[in-house]
Amino acid sequence: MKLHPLSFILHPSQIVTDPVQLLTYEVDAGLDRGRPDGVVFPRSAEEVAQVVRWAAAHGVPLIARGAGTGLAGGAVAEHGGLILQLSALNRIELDPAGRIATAEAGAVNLVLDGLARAEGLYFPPDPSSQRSSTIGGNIGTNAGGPHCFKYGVTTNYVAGVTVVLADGRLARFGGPAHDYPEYDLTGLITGGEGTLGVVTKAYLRLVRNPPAVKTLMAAFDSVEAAGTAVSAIIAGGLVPATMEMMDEKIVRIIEDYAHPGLPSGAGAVLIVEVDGHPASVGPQIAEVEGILRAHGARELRVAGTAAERDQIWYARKSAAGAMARLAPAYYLVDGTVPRSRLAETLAAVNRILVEHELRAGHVFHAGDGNLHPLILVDDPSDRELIARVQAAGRAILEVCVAAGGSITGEHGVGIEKRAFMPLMYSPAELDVMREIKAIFDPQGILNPGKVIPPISDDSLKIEDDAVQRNEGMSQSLTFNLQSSILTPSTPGEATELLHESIAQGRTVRIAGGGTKSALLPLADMTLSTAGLRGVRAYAPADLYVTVGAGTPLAELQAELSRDRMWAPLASPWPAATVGGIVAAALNAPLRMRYGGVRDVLLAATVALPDGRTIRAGRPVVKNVAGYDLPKLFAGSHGTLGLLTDLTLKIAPLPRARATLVALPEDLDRATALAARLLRTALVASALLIVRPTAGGEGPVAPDRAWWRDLRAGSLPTIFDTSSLALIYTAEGHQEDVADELAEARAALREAGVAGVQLDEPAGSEVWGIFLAGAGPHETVLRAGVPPQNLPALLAAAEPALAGAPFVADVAAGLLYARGAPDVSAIQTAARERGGYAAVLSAPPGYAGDRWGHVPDGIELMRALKRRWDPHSRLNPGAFIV
Amino acid sequence: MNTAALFALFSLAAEGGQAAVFPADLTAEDAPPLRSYHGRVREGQALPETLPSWRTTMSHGLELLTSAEYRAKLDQCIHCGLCLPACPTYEVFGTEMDGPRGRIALMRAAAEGRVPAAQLQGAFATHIGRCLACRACETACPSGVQYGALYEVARAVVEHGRVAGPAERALRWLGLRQLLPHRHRLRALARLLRLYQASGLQRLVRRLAWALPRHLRAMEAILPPIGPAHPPLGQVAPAIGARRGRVALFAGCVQDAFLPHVNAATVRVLQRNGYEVMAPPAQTCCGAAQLHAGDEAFARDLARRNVDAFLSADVDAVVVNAGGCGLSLKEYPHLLRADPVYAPRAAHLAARVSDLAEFLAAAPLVPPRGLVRARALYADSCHLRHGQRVVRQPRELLRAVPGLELVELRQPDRCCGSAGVYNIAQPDTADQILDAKMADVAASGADLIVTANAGCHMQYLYGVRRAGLCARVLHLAEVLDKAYEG
Repeated sequence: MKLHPLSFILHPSQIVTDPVQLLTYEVDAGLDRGRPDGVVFPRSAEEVAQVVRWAAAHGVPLIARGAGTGLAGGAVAEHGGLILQLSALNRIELDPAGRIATAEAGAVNLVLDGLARAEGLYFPPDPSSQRSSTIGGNIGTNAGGPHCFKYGVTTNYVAGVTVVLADGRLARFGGPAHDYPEYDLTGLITGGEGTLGVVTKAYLRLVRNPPAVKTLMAAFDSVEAAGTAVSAIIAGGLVPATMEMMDEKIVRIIEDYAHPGLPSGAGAVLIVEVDGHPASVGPQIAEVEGILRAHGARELRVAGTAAERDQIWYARKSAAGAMARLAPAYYLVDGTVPRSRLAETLAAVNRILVEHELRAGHVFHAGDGNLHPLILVDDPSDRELIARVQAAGRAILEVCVAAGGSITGEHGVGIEKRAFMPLMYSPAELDVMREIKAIFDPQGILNPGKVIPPISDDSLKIEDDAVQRNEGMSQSLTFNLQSSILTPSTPGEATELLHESIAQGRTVRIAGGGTKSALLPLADMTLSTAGLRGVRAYAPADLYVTVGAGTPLAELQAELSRDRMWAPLASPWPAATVGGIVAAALNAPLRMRYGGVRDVLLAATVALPDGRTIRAGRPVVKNVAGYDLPKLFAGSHGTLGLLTDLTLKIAPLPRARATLVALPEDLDRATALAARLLRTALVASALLIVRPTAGGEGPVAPDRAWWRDLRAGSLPTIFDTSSLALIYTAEGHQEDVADELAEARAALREAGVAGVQLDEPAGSEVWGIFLAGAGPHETVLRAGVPPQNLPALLAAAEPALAGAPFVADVAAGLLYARGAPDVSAIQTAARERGGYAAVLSAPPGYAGDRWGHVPDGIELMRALKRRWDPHSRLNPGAFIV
Repeated sequence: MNTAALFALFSLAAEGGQAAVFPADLTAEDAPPLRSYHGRVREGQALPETLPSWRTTMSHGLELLTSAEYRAKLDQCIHCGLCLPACPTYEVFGTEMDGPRGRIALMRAAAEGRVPAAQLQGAFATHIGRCLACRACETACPSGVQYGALYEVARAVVEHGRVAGPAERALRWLGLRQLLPHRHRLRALARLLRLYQASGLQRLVRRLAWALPRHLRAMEAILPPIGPAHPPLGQVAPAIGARRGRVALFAGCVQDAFLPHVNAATVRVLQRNGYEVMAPPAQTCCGAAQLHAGDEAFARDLARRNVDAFLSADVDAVVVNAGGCGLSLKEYPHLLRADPVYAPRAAHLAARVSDLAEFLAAAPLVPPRGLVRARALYADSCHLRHGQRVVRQPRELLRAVPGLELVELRQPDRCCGSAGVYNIAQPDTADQILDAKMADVAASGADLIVTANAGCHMQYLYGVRRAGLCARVLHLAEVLDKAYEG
């Protein structure tokens, strides 16, 4: 292959083709090897784009590479080609006011986190490689880390990406604002291992750095006992920042090597760390301590000082080094199971290791069921041994899949686990991934051959316990397709009806609770999810629930609340169904605490318009096997498929919740105060600026009891004297809520603004009441801008709002307005500030621009839509495609 | 011996990629013998290798590379990449081959015979040559890879394979064999250079520095102001106050000749702490420079001389005030591992070697009473921090100095670019590393830089001048000495 024309694009010092130098680019941190034909070092996204255009013209494979710390061969040039080394793209910009970081692909994770912490903020994804690994690599593999249990994985913090597409075009998916009206291509790219596009820049969400942490270490007789204790912690409604476990073998190995003072002879050692406000970590750790002691903790040590905490973590972090002392190499397995299955999985894994005559120790993230057996490799050149290790690795992953888990929780598929993909996914699911790949990269030049196996390898699928059977299918197909409303009662029926209708050339409208359809054109058929109702699987210990799409959220919450659990979602409309909420991805303010709909959705069963049924995702938080399909369906407004069952992350109900209502005199003061409160928001679940009335005509929802109380009780004249309210809700541990609201009250005092603390309502309820109160002839719009630009948007949009009532979700940079007379002026104002304004509902006959946004990825979105619904028969007109 | 010769010597010793180090065509017979060993060799023992084989062949290096022991050390690297952010050259170049993992990949490829012999002098030599050998990667490594040991062999392969012109070979021979191990010659050179500085010639040269060859300019730039006193070794300095013991001072070569005030301060500080101090006159250069240049045989000879010199002194400890030399002494057991006579003696010595800070901090410090008003930063020596893992002790000592406020650099573990003769060998890379370091220094607001190694000391003097900062550079011993003087 001739590379020299590249020198027209890059300086010679940015191109490496010397065969000796290329030896250093043969591997990443995994075992697979491949020699690239060259390595290029672009310094800007534009240079990346030029290289991609060049490669596309010459059909040259491109492998994006960050720090090469991946463990699955994702950055290995298996088929030759060019390695795009992105480490020079390492600029980072922080916007503390918007809690957004803009980081280029080559920026190092820990550098970003360090900058964030200097501003009192925190970037939670913390893979063990974070010292070296880059944001681009973290996004490519959707990296996890020990803090995932509480904080989630990389994708939960990626608000948008700038990517170079396979044809060399630069496009932005998502961005610094929230909830752009687009398919969530950001969510698809994240975890795509560089096969769908080359990420050059990312917009990352940051959270407040918890001001206090507390750590303890406890010894148990067995892994089972420790696992039971972990379950008890979760059942007790506690959410520690991290729970790490080590088994007997590795404890002994670490103790022999690093002497960190681990309890001797323990069957398992558990490290638990809690975080929060200073007043809360003490009681939290005391409660954890009590639970652990009640569940057989033999020896328990709470770190009293930073040095003691370091000592505890030193033990955990010495695992790799300790193993390296025992053997020249080790093989690190990465698999996930639903947490409650950890102990039995471990027992099975140990049996496999014995059968294969291998030595190993276990370290694992106990909170999220991610296990990491470290198998010792005494002689890396011993082929027979390597074969045994690989056979054991495969057997272990088969066990994980059978338990409803994943073949990889955080390392990725790359080359290493490509052949295992069919264990987990059906041929149809793999085909869907192949179709996505073909749409993004028709020539197959982006990291070719990675992640998805060749078609010949399909059909090895292991049926796991969590598969929803399509019971009662054909025989119950008694519906008359002539009738225009179809109400299937099983997922199988729904799938068949959908397929039949579309195959017969009819357009189909999916209806959930029927809460938001005024703008939609009529379709030939309406497929109601009302019959797909009820909980299919409920695993409080594993923090997930699977429900039928037609289940009203209120019904689900009522059921969950019996166990003091809930799904952290909210809707303005009491009839809203879970399927509808996920399809519309309308995010309540509580997302600032719990993540958005996309983050709560773990898995879904989807009936595609072409008749195939796939299961997207798995009921585990950590699953990076293949493309993250649930992201694609969340927020797609039912245009890509019918969601029949949904698996949602659930959480313990917050023990305390309180709301501070303040009455700033004018908008400037309100926005300044909101910005000040956002800086210290840690357990806040809403930060809103509300203008409830149009010209002082009265409150928004006078029929609501709480509002009456508000008027009659603590704040009798709230809306007589003020047209603006600032609403700040905090929820969680009592001490956290108390501390946080004390901080907020101090900020109010400092600003000279009056405020009152109430038990109810929560900010998300206020938001809901505001939206639900819109009349059928009222236009309701949602404008989204980067949160730091919200004050500017409010000021600029004021003439167009003309005093219309609004709710501004300050943390998310979203403005909801009712009855604004001039929609297009607001759309312009939002666009000029890096955002968009979409019409949520409008009087029949509204003919303006509904979405106020032209996504860069619109062609890809349309191609996806065409691939599965070529005649646009499913939910026509429901979304931007 | 004159200034120009020294300059030429260093520039050669350090030439990196292009220059040759070893006279390829000299044979063992041509090599001048060392005059004698000062140490005692017991009756009946085999004499150490007095005539080092002058030219170890390249095949010898390759044998080392392909040995089972070396392969096993290479296998410890699981190429996780956690070393990358610790590496100063990775930061400058951003390429895999200029980071520790890439260099190990090159070593592994060479060991597997995947680097053609001719290429060992090409890209392989370039990237091995760019390594500072600061060992920050060893500290960062979770798997305990012994990078220093791996690097030493790769370096030897590169050096052994080189072919150079006669002038270069002669000058290297002059510097590494005829100068560094000979205290009186070095001191004479220092006196000459002092004249060069005092006469005003240095000012003139520095004004015209742009006209000098790059390596010579780099060499000139790090020349420290040379003081007048060169006290003779061998005298015993008595303990002051309650006597705690008797120690030997390792005087060093460049340190002794060019920074004599540091050794003098070291002796006084030890005296104040109740130690009787002597410096065995038979001691010589530690051999690190020769080892680094690939002349292991000669380095081993120097090591044997030092082993003899210090083991014959009846002391409780051997105190070293230069991080590089200290590590070198502590690694004598590795260097002499194949010598049945000296391996145990080297281990015996190494067990007694202690860095000054390590030594002082191990016992309660006699509290200094004098005020040293300064905002000070402690500049870690890489071989002290990463090689000897002495990090906490010097800082503790500085905190005991009244009036001194200790600040930390943003990246205290980062090499300053001195790295033996790296700043002369790779002046441009070294300057980039130094500039980053001085920016870090400037940001710290420190007005005093406290050093722990002769090379770093000279590099910081140059760095302060280059960056136009107002900061003093003092060795830790000098700071303590001032505090004791009050």
